[in-house]
Amino acid sequence: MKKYKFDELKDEEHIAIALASLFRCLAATPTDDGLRYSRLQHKFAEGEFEKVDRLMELYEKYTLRTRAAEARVDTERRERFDLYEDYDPADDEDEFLAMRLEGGLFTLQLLSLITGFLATSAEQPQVSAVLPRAFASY
Amino acid sequence: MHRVSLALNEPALAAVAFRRKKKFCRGGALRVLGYALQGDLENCRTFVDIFGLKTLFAAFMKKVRSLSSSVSFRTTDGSGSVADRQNDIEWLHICDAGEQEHEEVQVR
Repeated sequence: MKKYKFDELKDEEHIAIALASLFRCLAATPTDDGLRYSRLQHKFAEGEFEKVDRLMELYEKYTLRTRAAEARVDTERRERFDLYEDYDPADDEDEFLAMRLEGGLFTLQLLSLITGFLATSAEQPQVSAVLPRAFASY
Repeated sequence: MHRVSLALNEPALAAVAFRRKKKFCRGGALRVLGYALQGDLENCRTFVDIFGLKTLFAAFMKKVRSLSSSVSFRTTDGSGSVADRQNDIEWLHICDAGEQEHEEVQVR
C-alpha cells in the first residue's frame, strides 16, 4: 500500500519555487543577509559546478516541455478556428496561458530567475563566469 | 504543544521531514517548503540557518537519500543506528527552536 506516488515534475516545481524565493528574499537585503546569501551562492560553486550543470539540465528540459506545450496550444487554436465561424482567439487566451504555464512555462520562469540571480552576482564571480560556458554547451 | 510551535516554523518541519522520511513524504515536504519560503524573509533566514540548503540541494541534485544519514553505523547493542540518533537529536533541537519562535535559531 504505497500511497505516495513519485511525481518528478511537481517535485522540481516545488524545488524551483523554494530556490527562487530564497534568492529573492535574501538578495533583497544584502546588508543583513550577506552571509546567508553567499552561502546560498557558494552552494552552486561546490563540486565543480555540478549544480550549475544540473540547473542547465533542468532549463533545457523545461524549455523543451514549454515548446511542446506551445505546439499543443497552437494546434488547439487552429482547431477551434476551423470549428467556429466567428472565432476570436482573444477569448481563450487565458486558457491557453494556463495550458502553457502548466506545460512547463511556470517552472521555466523560476529557473530563469535563479539563473539570472547567479549570472549577475558579484559575490561569486566564478559562478557567473561559468554560466556562459554552460549555456553555450546546451 | 510541540506541534503548534512547529507549525510556526514550517521550514524546520519540512527539513526534518526530508531527513526522517526520505522517499515517503518528499513530495509533501517540498510542497510545504515551497509555500513556506514564498515571499517570507524570516522563513528564508531560518531555513538557511538550520542547514536546510544541504537537504534542498540534495533534492535538487536528485539524490533521494539525504547526505547526513547515508552513512549509517550500527551500534553495538543494536538498538538503532547512530544516524537515527543524530536525527532524533536534531529533531529535539528544532522542537526547542520552534518554541523560541522569532528568536535566533541555534542548531548544534
